Amino acid sequence: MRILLMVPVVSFLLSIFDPAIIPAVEKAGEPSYGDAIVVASISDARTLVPILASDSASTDIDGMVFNGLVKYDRDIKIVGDLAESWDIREGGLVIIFHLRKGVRWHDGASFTAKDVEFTYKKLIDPNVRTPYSGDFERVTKLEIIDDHTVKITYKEPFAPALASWGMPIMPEHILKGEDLNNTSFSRHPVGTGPYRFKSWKTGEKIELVSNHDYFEGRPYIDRYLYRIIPDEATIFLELQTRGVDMAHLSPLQFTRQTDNGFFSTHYRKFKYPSFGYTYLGYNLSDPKFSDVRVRHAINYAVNKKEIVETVFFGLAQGTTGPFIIDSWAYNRNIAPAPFDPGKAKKLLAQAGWIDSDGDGWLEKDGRIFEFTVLINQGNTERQRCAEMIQGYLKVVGIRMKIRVVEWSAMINEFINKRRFEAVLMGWFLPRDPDNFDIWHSSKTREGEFNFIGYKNEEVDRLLEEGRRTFNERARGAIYRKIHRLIYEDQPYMFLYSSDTLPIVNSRFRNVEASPIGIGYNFIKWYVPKREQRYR
Amino acid sequence: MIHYIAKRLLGLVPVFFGITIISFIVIHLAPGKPTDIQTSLNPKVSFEARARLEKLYGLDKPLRTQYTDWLRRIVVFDFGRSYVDDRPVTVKILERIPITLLINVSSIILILAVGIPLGVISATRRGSSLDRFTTIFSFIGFSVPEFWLALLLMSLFCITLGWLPISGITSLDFEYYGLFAKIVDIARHLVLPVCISAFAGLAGISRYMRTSMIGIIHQDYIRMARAKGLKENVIIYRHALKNAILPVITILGLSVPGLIGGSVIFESIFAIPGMGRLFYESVMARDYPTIMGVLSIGAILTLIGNMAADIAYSYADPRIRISPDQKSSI
Repeated sequence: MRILLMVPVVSFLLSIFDPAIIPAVEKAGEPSYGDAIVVASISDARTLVPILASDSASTDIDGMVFNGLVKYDRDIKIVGDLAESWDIREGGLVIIFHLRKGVRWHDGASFTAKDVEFTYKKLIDPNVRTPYSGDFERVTKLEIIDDHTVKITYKEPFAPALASWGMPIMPEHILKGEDLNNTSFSRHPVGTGPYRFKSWKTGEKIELVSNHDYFEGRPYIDRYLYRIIPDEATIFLELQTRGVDMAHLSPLQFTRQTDNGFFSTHYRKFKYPSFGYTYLGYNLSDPKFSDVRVRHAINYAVNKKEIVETVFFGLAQGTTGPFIIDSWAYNRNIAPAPFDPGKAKKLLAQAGWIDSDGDGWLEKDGRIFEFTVLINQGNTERQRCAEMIQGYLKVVGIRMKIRVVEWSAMINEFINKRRFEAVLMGWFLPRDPDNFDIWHSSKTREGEFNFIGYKNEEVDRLLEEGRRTFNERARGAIYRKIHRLIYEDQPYMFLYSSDTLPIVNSRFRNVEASPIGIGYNFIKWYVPKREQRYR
Repeated sequence: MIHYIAKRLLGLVPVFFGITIISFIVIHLAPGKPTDIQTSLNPKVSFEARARLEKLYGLDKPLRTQYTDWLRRIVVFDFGRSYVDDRPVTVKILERIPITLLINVSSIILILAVGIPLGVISATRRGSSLDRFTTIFSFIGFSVPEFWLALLLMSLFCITLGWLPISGITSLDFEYYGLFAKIVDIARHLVLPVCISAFAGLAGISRYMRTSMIGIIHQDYIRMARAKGLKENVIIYRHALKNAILPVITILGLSVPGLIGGSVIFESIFAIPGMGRLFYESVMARDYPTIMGVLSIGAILTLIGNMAADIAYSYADPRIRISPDQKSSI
């Protein structure tokens, strides 16, 4: 039960870094309205039409302005948002949503089932440039039962369906007849969320103001200022003058640079696992890697613990499988392979790789064991990680080269065309564990996500079963089995899942770490009257 | 003179289209597509959804058609719409130009106001300790990386001393300020960016000025002026400067496109939404219409800048005006 352990661990850490802040929290008193929060972001939003937005800045803002029918709570469980409740009928073929009554759009109009239907129609409209149509193509029909009830029928039972309705709902009365690809709405969104859109100065800042009429209550913080500061060093300087209230730290900043009196009096730091992992993926059609013993050997040869300690100062966790650590799909019974270069050498010898000429490199059929790993440009952590792997593999006699390529070029020229031997990349995972698209053997066309060419019939069958099963217990068992099978096959060497490291000015109260992060209760954050800084 | 300008202007047209063809081909040669950022390796984006997106952006058309489509619009100064946020490219560029111009013009004024006198003084007092100091200063100015200097000065003036704001162009409560407070606020935000962007240019201009001045003050007509008994200031600033400033005019002409082109590193550090970032972000997103828009404006300004320098030359030096056709050999 690592989820439960998480919170004590975090508060323990905080008590080390932050002795001054705990008494301050206790004497805080009544929550009060007012003040503004300044959030730093590396990049600007692109479009605020929520079904078109795919970058993190746009989805951050949309998350404050819009609501879906459902959302995830602090423990990553699905709860109602615009839907009060729902029934799943006919073995998952039908979902009936009962919508919240009395919810108003920011312009005062009422939210009804029509808005849900409208959003759905736009998601499947072939002329709308949405990347999210996939999950909604499975719907056969959406019927409005009454103003506050929607019935959705699926072609076949699809377990991730419920979570897919976390998609933000858009207002029909404003967008009807608009071309979503080209609408002023993308820069002036109107939603139902806790914050209303106020202004957007391109490349500079986006400002939101609190929605006094919000259905879960008026948020305490009046203004939400999203400042675009593209340089991490500048963000850090801004933190030092308290020009920014919330930002993300690098592991180095978290452990070393904020470890002083200034930061412990003015800020609180948090850490929790990110929803993703980094891996070394092999091109399985390459004869070097088609032998499972070779893949296991590499897994034994690499010291992941040392990578986490060196590259992340311990602010990451080793991982063994393709699911979010701490989620119900993750199999905690799988013991990670120990660091054992001796065993690695033995396995490689069994596979026919022997250093016959004594030059330190392994050979087979007269050819040295040599391969190139691709990494995308601009990710220093991955680069350092690759350099460490290079060192470990040299010890067992494998010559690994590193090639850094710009992101777009890497995807188009190498990954999609399968022109790679191995690749060091990461997945950012949705909360639902269904990862059919990454592991199913049918997903190997150019541009699809099983680019390593993984094929295991048992895994295929389980993946199909997993997305048909609604019961979380039964589903969990299926995914844990998948986890085990994939770990045994070692198509990836699973490396680590790095921690998310936000820092928040300590004048904000009620900020709590939880499995889903710190933002889930943002509307409950407040600043005591006498500590408020902005109007 | 008008005839000369008209002829030069006409000559620019084919050069401009040559530039656009080359730019168009080069940006399309770069691997990747505008839809990549939106779709690649996002497990929530299906294969079909991605193919659909590419069709909607017209990326499935042959390159030649894409270029002629672009050309047809450019004739009426329509740069098309950005692939990133679907706003008109002209709007995207126009909203970035004021701040970029403000910083670059102030920095050029600062460069000229300080650089020219500095160059003149170190030329007239060649070998003095002031001259040596400016020499060292120029070499430092040339070699110091801008971003490093920026971070050091930010750390000093904004954190240690607390005199200036770190980044951005306005304070957060800016909209509640009065007019005067607004001006002061912007000025405070621009002190560091302007000084730092002027730093390297200052080194350059003062060097050019010094060399050119040294060349001039040994000419016969300066000796003649001295022999006439003119005051030293009149000799230097009225007679010598006018000739010595010629190469500086060329440099100014060449810096015209630089007026709207910013530096991405510099703008990122100061969180200024300028042209440098716009261009960099467009390249990263493979936003072809925006890239082409910025490049075309850059090309136009470079061509006009060169021409303006020629014209300014012919004003400052009558010999060029008389035989424009031989100009290219200078």
